[in-house]
Amino acid sequence: MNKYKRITLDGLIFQNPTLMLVLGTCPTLALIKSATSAAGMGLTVLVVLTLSNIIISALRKVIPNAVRIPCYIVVIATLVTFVRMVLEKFLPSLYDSLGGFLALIVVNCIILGRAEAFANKHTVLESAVDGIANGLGFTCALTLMGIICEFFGSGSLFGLKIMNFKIAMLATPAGAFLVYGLAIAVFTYVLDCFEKSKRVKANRIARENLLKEGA
Amino acid sequence: MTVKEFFKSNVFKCITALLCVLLASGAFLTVCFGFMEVTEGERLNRAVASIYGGKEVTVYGLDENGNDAVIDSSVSSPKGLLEKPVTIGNSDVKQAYKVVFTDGGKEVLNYLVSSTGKRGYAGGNVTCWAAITVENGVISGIYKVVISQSASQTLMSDINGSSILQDIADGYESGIQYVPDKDNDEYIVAGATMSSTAVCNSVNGALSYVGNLLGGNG
Repeated sequence: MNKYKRITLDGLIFQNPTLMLVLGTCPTLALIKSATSAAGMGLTVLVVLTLSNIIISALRKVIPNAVRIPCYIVVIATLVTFVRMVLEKFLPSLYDSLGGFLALIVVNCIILGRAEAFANKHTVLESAVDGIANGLGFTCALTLMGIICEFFGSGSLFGLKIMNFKIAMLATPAGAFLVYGLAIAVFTYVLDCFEKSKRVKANRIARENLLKEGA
Repeated sequence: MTVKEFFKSNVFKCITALLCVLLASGAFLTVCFGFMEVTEGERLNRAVASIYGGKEVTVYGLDENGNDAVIDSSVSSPKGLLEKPVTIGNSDVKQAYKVVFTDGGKEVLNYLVSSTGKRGYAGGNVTCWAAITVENGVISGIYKVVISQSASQTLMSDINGSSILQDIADGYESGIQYVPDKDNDEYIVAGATMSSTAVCNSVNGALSYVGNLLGGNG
């Protein structure tokens, strides 16, 4: 498989940071009660993750190994501060809705994790693709859970009132935890079924090839 | 280790790399701040939009001669009624403007006051914009209270538009100071480090300032 395709699929599905690796749990649980906040946080993390991967990959041969973590944190903190300035200037409503969790992106384990595990060992283009894929995977997972929590917890979708019926628990952090756990379970089950069908197909093809050789 | 050895050593390379990254980041952020600073004029416009929505309002500050002057939205730092922040009780009143608008065919005068309420939970502060209605030279009520955007974000900004701030605005009675009532959970709300105590202190400060401005007719 093409390496960029592999990197993209890993970030989006097979190594999804939220549903498979269970990283970035803090903003996930805090913001999925509203689909808009969830999508906003996801897109913000996408931008920071992609830019930090690009910069860290570009500097990977310059930064000595002994000080790589402090350097990564400085880079990530700079990018988060820059994104905060942009949001406060041009998107004040999103800036308000993200609240204190915007600053907490600095210590989001997805960003430092990808910097350490991928960006400092791969080229700039590969790191950029990895950042975009993981960011999109995080955004999609958060937005989907946000839609579920907001729809059933508040009876609305992206701020638009849809119905009067609501399960109040789903609008609380406890309900968010429940939805998160269920989402991980369903995602893992679907992925397992997919892997199983792939294995069955591979085994069938191998058996047919053996029979043909035997014949 | 000699000086020459030090400059060739890994320690020197590490220090240099770290310093370069720090300096580059600092320079980048300084440049960005110059372009993306949110000016006082923008904060005022956002507060006006948040409080008055789509209503047509005229905002007055002070001109150089101390007379009322219509705020020019293109000015980055519009001059309010205060030269410098004023401390009143547990709050610092930062800025005040006069706002005139039409509501139900009647002309309404508000004093739009930005004040920082202190002594919240764990010593935190909350900055609010309070629109105080004045009729015939006397405070007649609070039109609306909103939490101002501030550099230190907290979950307190979530209460903008909630019933708590509206309760504070609706429940105004002349001479009553707002205090969170722990026994009845009235006006109680807490963020990570801040609380409705600071919100109430901010509103009280705004009320006191306007009362003093009107010559004690609070």
